[in-house]
Amino acid sequence: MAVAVLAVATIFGLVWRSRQGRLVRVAEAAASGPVTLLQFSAPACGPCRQVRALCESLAGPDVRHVEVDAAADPDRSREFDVLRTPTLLVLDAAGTPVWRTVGVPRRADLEAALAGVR
Amino acid sequence: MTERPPLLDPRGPRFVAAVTTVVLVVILATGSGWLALAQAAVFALGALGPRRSPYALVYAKVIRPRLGPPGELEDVAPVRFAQRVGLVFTLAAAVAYLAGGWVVGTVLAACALGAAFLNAAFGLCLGCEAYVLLGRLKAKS
Repeated sequence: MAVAVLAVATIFGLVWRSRQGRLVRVAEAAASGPVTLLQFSAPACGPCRQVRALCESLAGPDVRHVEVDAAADPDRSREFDVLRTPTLLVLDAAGTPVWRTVGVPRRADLEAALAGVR
Repeated sequence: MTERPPLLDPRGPRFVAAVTTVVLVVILATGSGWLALAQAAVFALGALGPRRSPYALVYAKVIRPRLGPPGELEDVAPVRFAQRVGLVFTLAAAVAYLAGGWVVGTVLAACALGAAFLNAAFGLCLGCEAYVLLGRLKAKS
């Protein structure tokens, strides 16, 4: 019994982990121009800090990083359907979410996503 | 944010979850209602504050001094909530086992084991996720 529970939980955990930080395309980039990295965070959320550091290192003249406290701004969380932190959205110049990820994305994946939107 | 939330070394709850996993495996293997009751008591202490769990005391006294400082800190509130969820499941399992409801006790203990193992092995705290979701639902209504 215990072995069965552990086996099922292991499969669940592996699937969960493989999905962490995976960027998902939610729309085609409609507008070209400056991109916004919209990050939803929570206080004392470790992975949020990693996402912040990553976004700040990618920020520049045409990449803006905006961080929102998901709990303190429920309206915006609802608008973008954010249920977990850290959630990161890549918005095109028109403010449309193009990519979305929960967890810490890999730098190369995020760079590739940004290159496609700009 | 009105005040800074209390913070926790996240390796503490991971260690607590690992010990809990071992105890729950023994509970499932033996069907011991008394052991489930003891684990429920441990959860009850953890629900008062994650650092009050007896397992957390072992972490603080024996393991933490041998480790470096934590790379990150986490919020106490979701962990405390998760301990409460653990308390509900193991207490119900203890009552079921002691009342002769082996199947119900097993199902409840199995749920608790799955959650404890996911936390220990993958750092996925289901109770914490539930806490965040509940908070979001409350904010919506």
